[in-house]
Amino acid sequence: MPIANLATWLQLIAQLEPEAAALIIALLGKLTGQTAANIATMDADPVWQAIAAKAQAEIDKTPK
Amino acid sequence: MRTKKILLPLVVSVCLFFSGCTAKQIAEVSAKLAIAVQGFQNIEVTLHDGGKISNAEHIAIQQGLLKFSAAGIALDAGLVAGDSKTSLAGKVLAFADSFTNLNAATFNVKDANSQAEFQIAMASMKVLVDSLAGLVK
Repeated sequence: MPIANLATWLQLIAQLEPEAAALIIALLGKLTGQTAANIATMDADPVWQAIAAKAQAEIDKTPK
Repeated sequence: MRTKKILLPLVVSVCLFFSGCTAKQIAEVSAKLAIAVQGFQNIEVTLHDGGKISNAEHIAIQQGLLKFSAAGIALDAGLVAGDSKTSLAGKVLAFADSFTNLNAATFNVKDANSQAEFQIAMASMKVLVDSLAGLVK
């Protein structure tokens, strides 16, 4: 988020009652925090899934 | 009252900023580790297909990889679900345990060259596993 936008958000939030401000920030933080983690996780999870699938296939096809 | 109005949102923002960063950092390390593990898996399969790794060794390593990847999937699911730092720490611990199992399986490989290659790969993966543990401390 650009600093100018962050400053604007903080100014707007500072006008609110503390409880309302905390609630809005908590919701925004939850959304943005999860989005950041989700974006990075989207890259990792299919790779972990592929490793698991290949490992299982190798175990199944290898003579015991 | 005015100070309280400004300070409360700021304190909440800073706390959320740092908690969000940790989740993002864990997800990034998990992504790097997944790529490294996939590379290791491909090399192991090639060595097995080339006759350097026995069937028993191959199965033990692939079983280790199966557990390790399951721990990676669980960790990523925790990140997506927005798990608490404590819950993520538990998942990272399970991740580290499964890494120890995988590492033990590579130590049992009899072919010296293959084992040397594996130990280099394991050392790089350990750096990433340790870094994950450091993020949830």
